[in-house]
Amino acid sequence: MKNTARPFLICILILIAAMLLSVLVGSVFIPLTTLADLVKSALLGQTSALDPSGSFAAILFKLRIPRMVLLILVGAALAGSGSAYQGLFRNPLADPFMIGVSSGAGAGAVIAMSIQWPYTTLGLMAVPISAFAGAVLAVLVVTQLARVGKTIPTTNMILAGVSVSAFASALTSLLMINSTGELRRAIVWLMGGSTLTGWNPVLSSLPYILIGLTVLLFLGHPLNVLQFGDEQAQQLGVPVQKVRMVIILAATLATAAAVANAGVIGFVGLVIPHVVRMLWGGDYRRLLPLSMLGGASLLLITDVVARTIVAPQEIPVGIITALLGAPFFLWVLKRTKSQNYW
Amino acid sequence: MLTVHNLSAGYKEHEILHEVSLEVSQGSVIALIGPNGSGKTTLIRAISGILHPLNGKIRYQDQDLTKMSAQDRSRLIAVVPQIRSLPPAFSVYEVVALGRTPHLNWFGQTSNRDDEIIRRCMAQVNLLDLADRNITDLSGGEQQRVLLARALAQQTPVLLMDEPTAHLDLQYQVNFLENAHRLAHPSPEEIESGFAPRAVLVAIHDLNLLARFADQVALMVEGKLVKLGSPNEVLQADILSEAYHLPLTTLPDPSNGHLAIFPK
Amino acid sequence: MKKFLHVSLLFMLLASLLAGCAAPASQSAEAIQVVDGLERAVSLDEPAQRIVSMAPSVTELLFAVGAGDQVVGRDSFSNYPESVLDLPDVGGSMGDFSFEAITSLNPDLVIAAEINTPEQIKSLEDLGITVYYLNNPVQFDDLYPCIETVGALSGHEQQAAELVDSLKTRVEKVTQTVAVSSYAPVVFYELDGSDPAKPWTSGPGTFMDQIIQMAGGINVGASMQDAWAQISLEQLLVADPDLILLGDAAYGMTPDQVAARNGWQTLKAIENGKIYEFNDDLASRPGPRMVDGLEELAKLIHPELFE
Repeated sequence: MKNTARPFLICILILIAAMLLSVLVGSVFIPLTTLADLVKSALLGQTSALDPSGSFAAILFKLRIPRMVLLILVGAALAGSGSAYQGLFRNPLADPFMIGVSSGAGAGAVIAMSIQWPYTTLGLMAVPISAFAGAVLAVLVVTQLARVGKTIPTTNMILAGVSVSAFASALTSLLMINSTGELRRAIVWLMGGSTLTGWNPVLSSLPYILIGLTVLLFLGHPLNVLQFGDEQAQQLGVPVQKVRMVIILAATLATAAAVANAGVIGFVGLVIPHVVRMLWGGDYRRLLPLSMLGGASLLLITDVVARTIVAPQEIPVGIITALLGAPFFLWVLKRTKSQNYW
Repeated sequence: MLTVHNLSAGYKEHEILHEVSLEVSQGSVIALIGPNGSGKTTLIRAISGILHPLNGKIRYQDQDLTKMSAQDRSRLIAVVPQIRSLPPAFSVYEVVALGRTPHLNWFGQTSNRDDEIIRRCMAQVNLLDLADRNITDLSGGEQQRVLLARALAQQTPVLLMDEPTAHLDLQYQVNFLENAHRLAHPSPEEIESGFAPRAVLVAIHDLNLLARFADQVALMVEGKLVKLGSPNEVLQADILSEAYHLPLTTLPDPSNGHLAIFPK
Repeated sequence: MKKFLHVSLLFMLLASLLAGCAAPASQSAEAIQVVDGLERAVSLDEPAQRIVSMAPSVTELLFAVGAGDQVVGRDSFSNYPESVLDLPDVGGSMGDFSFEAITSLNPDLVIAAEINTPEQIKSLEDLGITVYYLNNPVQFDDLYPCIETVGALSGHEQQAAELVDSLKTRVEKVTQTVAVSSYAPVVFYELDGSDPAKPWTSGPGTFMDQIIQMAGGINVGASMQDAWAQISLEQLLVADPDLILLGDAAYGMTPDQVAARNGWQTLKAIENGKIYEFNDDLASRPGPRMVDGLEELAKLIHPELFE
């Protein structure tokens, strides 16, 4: 009993620490006491004595807290989907972008960026909506291309994913080369990091990510069985084709929403599942939720670094996740004694 | 009793099984033999629901297996596959526990009773000492026993085995087949502790071990069931020579009457 | 005598009454209500006193109309006049601004330009900050309304108007001087020469293109398709410009390097040594320094007219 709860306790503690870090640190360091006072004042509907100009409150409630919530959602979505795909495709190199989500989203975003939208609520949502549509469309194309009769063989799916991704990336590059002013905006978006501040990106991604991740959490045991191959899983009573479609649907929803609102953030979805596996084993009933917690923490921490390391510049988060994530992963790899963690 | 009636199965352009009819009763072991490509594996796949039949019926008692959900079917039919690539992150206990899947909820929660069943199945194949070992650290023979224990944990009346002795040393082959025999012919103590005799169908390559464990032998050639009968009836030199396209001789073992088959 | 006194008293009374009517208008600050480049309504109770600039062109405009003391923060790329380097940097070079830094400065107005994205404008709006989006000028003459707008927003209309007048005078002087000449030298303006076989130049419609024309020259890039145009060495050899201007001098390109390029030796500009470095900011940043750029360019193109 103690053994099952411990990993969760550890991951939750790390997440809470990361959340505090994310909220306290930035271009202005807000001490814990000020934070408490600000929250209390906000709940009472007053202005805090420690913040006469109101700029701390604006920074906290309009910038940092919504950003923190968004990054928790995105990090959980990426790591959760990544671990689900690693189980589904039985491939340690699988990440949430394997079947075209990121390149589809990128193409959608860049297409939207090359059009001048009116400055209205809908116009401002053009890029995330288009990115989401692009992501979902790419996955649809991949599943249709890979289909053989009623089944979608794994190898076909991976190959179709690679092809569709390549096509979408080339399309994106073509659009970027032809643009002049939008080039910068596109590059920053593709490198990952939320370009929309405030609560809007949180609200538009929340339903998809919540639904997607909740569904995945129910599929831990079937994923375990699937490790023995589709045939054996079927013979053990798992409705394999249905489970695979649901996993792909849920993971795509969550990842598309994450990427559409926060850009392409790589590495989190690939590495966190491996770290969790090395520490606490490959039982997907634990791996999925622990990965979600770990992904959220990693993203929060790397975002703090991205915001502070060359302040006032904010480096796109996707760069930092790779720069920091890789050495971290190698360190965990070295410390792991187990050879059979995968 | 498992009944296969006029079963034709295969892929759209390519029929592999042609009107195969077969019955496997509780408490008997049928050995399925034949050259490669004769359809042994295809038959097993069709019965276990991997392959949809093009024609014919597959029934257990009076239930139509082809119309069942995967979960319902997996409570009637369990398969012991060959030990190909095994995922490394599972312990022996965990693998055998997967056999309980047809009886568990979505989260795979096991109760105390499930745990008892798992341990009993491991004990039946002498794996209790290895419960916490990683499955990839075991020998071929041990691994095959793990897969057998998993199939046993499914607690199905029918067991199908697809060339389970293919990669095993001789001692383990004999050992395994004796286990298979006991599944259909349990000892009185086993019956008393609640173990019901199974219907067992074993696809096997090695003809010389058949008589030790099989009650009946089914010979398949090019997708058709050409002969079904007791080992002595089927293991005739002329029948086998024609099936395997090779002149063969049979020689009885003077000690027990079991036939040995070898090329002329 | 008495009659004169009465009339003059009456007159003074009337004058003071009239002055009184006028007084309130000049003593209270005017509220500002305008529509910006994104068709957003922007209103200020009084001219902005704490301005954050999100683009280098905006910074130059603010300082040029005399509002330099009212600028409290600027983007990373702002570098002119030199004193702006001492002002707080609010980001923008690696893609995103630090909205925290902007918020902490408590600005009453943020001025953005086309270099900024709609998402950035929205983020500032959501933080309760007033933003004015200044459209980039397209034609050279569009510069003047920009100056006037910045002047109005910062309460320096007078200075802005004077600046506009003086700039127009200087431009007039240049165009009249070069109108005398019947000979228009061909000019090649290099934006990027990292690939000497296919250098980049300013195409038709760009400021550099317009300025070259106004300075009495012909832009090689005018025959290209795009604003940011790539020309092949072959096309350049056919055009055979009289002058080569290095807009990439800021990135280290020198006339010697250009003269040493393979295949460029036959160009008459190289044979005659007419390769000059040019500060690209003067032509690419839509601000008053464009007129400086025009004057410098005219001197390089028609040295004989500007002794």
